[in-house]
Amino acid sequence: MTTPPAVTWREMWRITLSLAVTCVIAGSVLGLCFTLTEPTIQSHHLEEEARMVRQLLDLDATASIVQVRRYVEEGTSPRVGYLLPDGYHRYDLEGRPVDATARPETLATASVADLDQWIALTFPGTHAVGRFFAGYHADGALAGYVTEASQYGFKSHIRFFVALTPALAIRGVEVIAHEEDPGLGAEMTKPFFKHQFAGRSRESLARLAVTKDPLPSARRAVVVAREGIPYAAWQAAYGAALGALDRQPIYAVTGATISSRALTDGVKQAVAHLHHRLQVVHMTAIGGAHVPFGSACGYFLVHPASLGPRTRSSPLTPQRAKPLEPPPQRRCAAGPWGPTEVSDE
Amino acid sequence: MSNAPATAPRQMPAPPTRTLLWRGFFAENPVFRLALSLCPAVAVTNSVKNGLMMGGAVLAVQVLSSMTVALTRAGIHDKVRIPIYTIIIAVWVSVIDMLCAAVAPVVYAEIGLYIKLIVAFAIIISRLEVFASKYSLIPSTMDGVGMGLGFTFAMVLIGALREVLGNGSVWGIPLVDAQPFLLLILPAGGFFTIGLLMAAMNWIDVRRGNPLSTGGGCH
Repeated sequence: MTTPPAVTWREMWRITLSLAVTCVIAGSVLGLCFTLTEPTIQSHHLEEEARMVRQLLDLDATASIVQVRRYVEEGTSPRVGYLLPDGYHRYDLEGRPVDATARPETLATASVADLDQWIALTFPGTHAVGRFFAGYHADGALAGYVTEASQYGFKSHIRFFVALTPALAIRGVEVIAHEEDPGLGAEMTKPFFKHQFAGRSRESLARLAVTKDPLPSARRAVVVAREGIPYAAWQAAYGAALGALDRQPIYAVTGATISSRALTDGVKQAVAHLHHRLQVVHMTAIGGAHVPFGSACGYFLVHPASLGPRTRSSPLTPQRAKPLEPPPQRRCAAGPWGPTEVSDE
Repeated sequence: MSNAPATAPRQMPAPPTRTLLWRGFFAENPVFRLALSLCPAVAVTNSVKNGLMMGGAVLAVQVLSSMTVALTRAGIHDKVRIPIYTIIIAVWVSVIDMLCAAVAPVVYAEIGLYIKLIVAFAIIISRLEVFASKYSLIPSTMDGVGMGLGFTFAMVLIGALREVLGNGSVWGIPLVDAQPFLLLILPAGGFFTIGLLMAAMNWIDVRRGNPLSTGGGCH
């Protein structure tokens, strides 16, 4: 009688060693490859993002883009924080400024990941939840904003950028990532749908509805013309046709009403949120003055760097959680949008 | 350190290179004849471009994995060969993914999605088990190239049919302006297309006097 040969200790040892050695080699190869490629991948990613933002705002390479990151701090007194060019500003849930911490000199050229880490270490329980970009022409004038948002579509989240003028009218919408069905929901990324948002004012969005009617050919011609040309040129060419835009609904993609509604709702919310957030950060003007939102010397209306000494006189200090001083009164031309110079009489 | 593979002493001579390179197209086409990797095949072949990208990515991983196994087969313990093959495939997929993202970001934007899918492809591990674990470097490489090309051929064929009929275009360039047969670019259309192409291949084979092959499928 023969019994099958038992697995010997020696055999088991060999199997274990064989697998362990394979895993060690595999892990080393992966680790080495990751270390070598990660910085390049990250910089490609940032370049691509900057390129997209520039393109959405019709800016050239000389323009500068400021990324504003938003954080939430959990705990007994929850805070919302914004990483602005001069430092990290915290607000309570009603949007009232709480304190501000200057960005350390050592982090002047730090990567986004390093800045996130700095904030997480300084204020435990804080994590990044979103961001938006402000784009400036070479002369420092504000070109517009780009905000990132996402909305649940038919299958999964649709992630998109909304580009806005300084007055928060929509310049364009660009879908970054989605998993909608090809031929149906995925059609929303095509010019005839995504450019239906272009030219609409923030105020008109509240009444914006989605209809299942087919897109009229006259409207289609105006919408499709937006593709590939600067916003200003498109407006100049179709300004008359855009006059009645506020009464134009969004014409849904045939067979993809859910995706169309999702993107429309997402854009409406993204603009409303950006409006609110800009109001919040505008409260903390350069120099500590509380400047009404929309005034010429508000935070994002001129490039922070072009303000020069005012940034220096900011009450921001490197110490943690220093309360803001009561705002000194500063003259600001409240009213018209845009980078008009403040008149100091 | 480990046992040599049990098959080593009675190794058969490798088929000629021409057979290795060609059999992936018809005789042993991974999709139509071996019915392997059908799930990802259905998922990504709604256009010619997607099919070609997927096929190219599989070709690269197949050749590199086959070469690795052919070179290290003496050191791979027979009882744990499948986990080790999986690790080899996963390492190559990850390395290609990272290198491609770093070196060719433009290409990566197109094919990044497909590279990561390859870890789950039955065709690659089956070629390692059936071929690369038994033959030396050159035949194994040729077998990998042949199977990769055969898979690419199948992907492009399926993708072309689905894109022309389902979207009215080829490589994204529209051919007709009419509303096409949308079903074909949805997942169900992938099954229809593959089923019909398989039937067509079998029909040709039977007409040529070969017996109808039977076999199971696997993703």
